[in-house]
Amino acid sequence: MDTPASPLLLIVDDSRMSRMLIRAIVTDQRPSWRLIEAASGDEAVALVEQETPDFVSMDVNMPGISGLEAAGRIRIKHPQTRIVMCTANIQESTREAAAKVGLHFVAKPITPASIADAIAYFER
Amino acid sequence: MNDLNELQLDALGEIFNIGVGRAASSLSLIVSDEVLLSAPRVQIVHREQAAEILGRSALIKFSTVSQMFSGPFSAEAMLVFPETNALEIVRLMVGPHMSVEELSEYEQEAMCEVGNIILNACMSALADLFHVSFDSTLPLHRFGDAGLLSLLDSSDEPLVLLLQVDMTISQQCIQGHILFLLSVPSMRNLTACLNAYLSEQGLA
Repeated sequence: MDTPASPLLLIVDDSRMSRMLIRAIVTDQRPSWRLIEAASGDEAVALVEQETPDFVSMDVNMPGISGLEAAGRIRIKHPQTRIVMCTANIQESTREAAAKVGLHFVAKPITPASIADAIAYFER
Repeated sequence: MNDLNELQLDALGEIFNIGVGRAASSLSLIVSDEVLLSAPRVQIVHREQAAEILGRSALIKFSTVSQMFSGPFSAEAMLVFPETNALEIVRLMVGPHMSVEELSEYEQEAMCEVGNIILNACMSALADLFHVSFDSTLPLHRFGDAGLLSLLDSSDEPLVLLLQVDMTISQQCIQGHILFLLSVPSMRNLTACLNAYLSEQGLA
């Protein structure tokens, strides 16, 4: 009998520190999850074509296409993928834009509590 | 002294990103519109280079708001907008019911308020994440030239932490710059705070 593969989380952030922090906290809270990283929205969209992640943690303000646009492109092709916008852009308009397309919103800074919130959404 | 490593610069950029995100949230409430932000670019340069970098941008005349912050390290924080955008920001703040003459009257006061919000948001992100506190002076509004940037020329501080963020308000491409003027001892203390933060996060 096949054992189901561990969930795959794609971490998208142009800040290396943020990617390292998310990776460290997720590894702590969900050691079995597999993690991959992208440093831009464009890179994330390309990566998703190679292997579809179960979950995505997406920054908003990045060089190239925005996180919202990248999330939209991923959602169109992979509606089952759960995406959390993990961003310092805490404006109501960003929250609304995220909610409108069914994305969960988590405000930076990245802490064990904010990552726990994202994980709770992923596992809902 | 310009020797922050890649991770330290990245961390500083991300901390400012959180600050600018907070500032944009407040600013969007004030101007009743969405504020789009680019990812911040952080550089540590000598002040002559900072004036040169700003001079190379499309800005010709500046509207600046500055504040002194003192705490574990001291810095003169400065928000720089093109002069032409300053009046537009004030118009967005007070609505369409004022004449240009009336707007001009409020310009200094309104720009001080915008500067106060943005600069304090950036410093509060630093203070919260570094677990420290800062005192600040009242914001001071001035106009300046691209060629001179007299504030930079007259400053005794040799180093400038240059944070460049593009802000777009209401379809007006308003490019704002945030500058932090730091002395060598202050830069050393900032680096120590940064190292403590990275170490607390298990990243150093």
